[in-house]
Amino acid sequence: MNDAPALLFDGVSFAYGGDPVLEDVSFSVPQGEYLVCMGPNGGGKTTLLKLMLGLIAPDSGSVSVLGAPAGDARGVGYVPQDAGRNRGFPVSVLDVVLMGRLHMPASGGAPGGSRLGRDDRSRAEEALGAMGLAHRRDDLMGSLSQGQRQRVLIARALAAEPSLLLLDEPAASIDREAGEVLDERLAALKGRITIVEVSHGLSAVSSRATAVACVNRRVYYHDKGEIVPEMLSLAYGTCPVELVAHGLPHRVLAPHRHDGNCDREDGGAA
Amino acid sequence: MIEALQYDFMRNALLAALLASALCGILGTLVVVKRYVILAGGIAHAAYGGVGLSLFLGLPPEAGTFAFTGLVSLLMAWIAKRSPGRSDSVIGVLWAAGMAVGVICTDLAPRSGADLMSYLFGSILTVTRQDLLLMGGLLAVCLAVCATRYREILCFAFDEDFARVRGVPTSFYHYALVVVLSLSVVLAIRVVGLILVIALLTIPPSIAERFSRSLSGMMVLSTLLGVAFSLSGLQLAYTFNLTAGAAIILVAASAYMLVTVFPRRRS
Repeated sequence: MNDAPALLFDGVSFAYGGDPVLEDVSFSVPQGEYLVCMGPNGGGKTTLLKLMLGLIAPDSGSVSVLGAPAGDARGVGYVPQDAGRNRGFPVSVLDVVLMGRLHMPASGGAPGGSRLGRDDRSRAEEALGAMGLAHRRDDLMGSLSQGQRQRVLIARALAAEPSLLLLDEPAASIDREAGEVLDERLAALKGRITIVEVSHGLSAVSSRATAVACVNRRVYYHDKGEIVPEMLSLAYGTCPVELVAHGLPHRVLAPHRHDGNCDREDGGAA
Repeated sequence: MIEALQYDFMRNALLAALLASALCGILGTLVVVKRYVILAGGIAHAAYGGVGLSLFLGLPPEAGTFAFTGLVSLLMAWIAKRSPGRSDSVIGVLWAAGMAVGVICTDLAPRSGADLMSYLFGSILTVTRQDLLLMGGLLAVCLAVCATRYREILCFAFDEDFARVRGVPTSFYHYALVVVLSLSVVLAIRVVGLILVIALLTIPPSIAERFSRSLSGMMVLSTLLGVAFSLSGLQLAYTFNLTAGAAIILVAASAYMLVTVFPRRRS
C-alpha cells in the first residue's frame, strides 16, 4: 500500500440544485484511522460519503481516496444503510457477500462473475465469519434480522479486502442488542484498516473512534476520538444538552468540557 | 389440446406462448425486483403511439413501432435514472401521451387498419414465422447475457450503488435492460397483446419471488409459471371459444390471488 492519506478533501463544495450542502471542505485522514462523522440530519454526512465513493462529483475542489481520484480508487469497501427495501429479494447470504468479490483483480474468476475464482468463496466465508454469521451463509437474506442483514453488508464490503471501509449509519434502524453486537464487531476492525463511519448517535465515538468529524455544511475535523463541546455547538448549532440527556457516555467528553458556555450543560448527564 | 396441435396455427401459438413466457420470465424477474413495473407499463402503452405513427406515416409497422418505442423508453429510462423518487408521474404522462398519439394518428391515417382490440389482446393465433424467429433470437441474447454476467446482474439488481462502487457498469445495465424490455414488449404485443405482456411481466415473477431462493431460480420458476398459465389459458380458449389472451390472464390472475391469500412459505 502507498503512503498517501486515506482521504484528502481539498476545498470541496457541493450543492443540490442551488442549495449548498457542503462548503469549502478541506481535511485529510491518515491511513489506519477510525473516523466517525457525526452531525445533524441534512448536514451533509451522506453527501460526504457519496463524494468519497465517487458516486457524485464535487462542484469545486477535489477528493482523493488512497492517492487516486475518488471513484477510481481501488480498495474501497462500501456498506450502505440497509433500509430493508430488498427484504423479499430472493438471494442467499453467501451470494450477497460474494458480490464483494466482483472485479477483484487477482481472484481468477470470470469478469462478469459467471464463474467464481479459486479464492472467492473462502474469502467470502472468512468475511462472514468475522461478522459472526458463518452459520447463516445458506439462509435467505430476507430471513435475517435487521442487525444481521447489516452485518452481512459489512461482510460483503470486507470480502473485497478493502484498505478503506466506508459505512453509512450502520446502527440506524436496529435495536439496542443488535447494536451492541455490531459495536463489538466494528471495534474489532479498528486499527486494521482505515474506517469512516457516518453515525447518528454518539456511541460509535466512545467505543471506537480515533478521530471525529462534525459535518454541518462545513466539516470540523478533530484528530482524537473524543467530542469537545465546541464541536457539538459548531456542528449542531445548539447547546448539546439534548444529546447529553439521551445517554451520552460520560467519558467521551474531553475534560475541558466545562469551558463551554452552555449554561445547562450538565442538565442530564451522569 | 393434442388434437388442436394438428393445426399449424395452434402449434405456432403454442411456441409463441412458450417464447413470450421465457422472455417475460427473465425480464419480468428484473422488472419486479428492480421495481420497474410502472416503467414496463409505460413502455407497453407508449408502444401504441408507434403503431399509430407508423400507420399515419405509412412506415412498415415493425420498424416504426420499434423506433418510436425505443426512443420513448430511453427517455423514460433517463428520467427514472435522474430522479428515482419522482419519475413515476412523468412516466405516467408519457404513458398516456404515447397512447393518445397512437389513437390520433390512427384517426388521421389515410387507411385504417390498426385495430385497438388486437393491440390490447394480440393475435396469438396468427403469429408469423418471422415473429417467432425474432422472439427466439432475443431470448437467446438474454440467456447468453444472463449466463455469462450473472453475478454482475445480481449485484446490479440487488444494490445499484454498491455495484457501481465495485466497478459494475450499472448505467449500461440500466439502459440495456430498458432497451431489451422495449424490444420484447413490441414483439410480444404483436403476438399476445399489450395486456398479456404486462401480465406475463409481472404476475409470474411476483408469484415466483415468494418461492425462490435465488434470482436465477426466480427466472426459471417465472418462466414455468408463464408456460403453465399460457397452456391452461389456451386450452380454455380452445374449449370454450374464448379470447386466448384474456383467458391466459384470468388464469394467471387467479393463481396470483390464491398465492397472496396463503402465507409466504420458503426456506
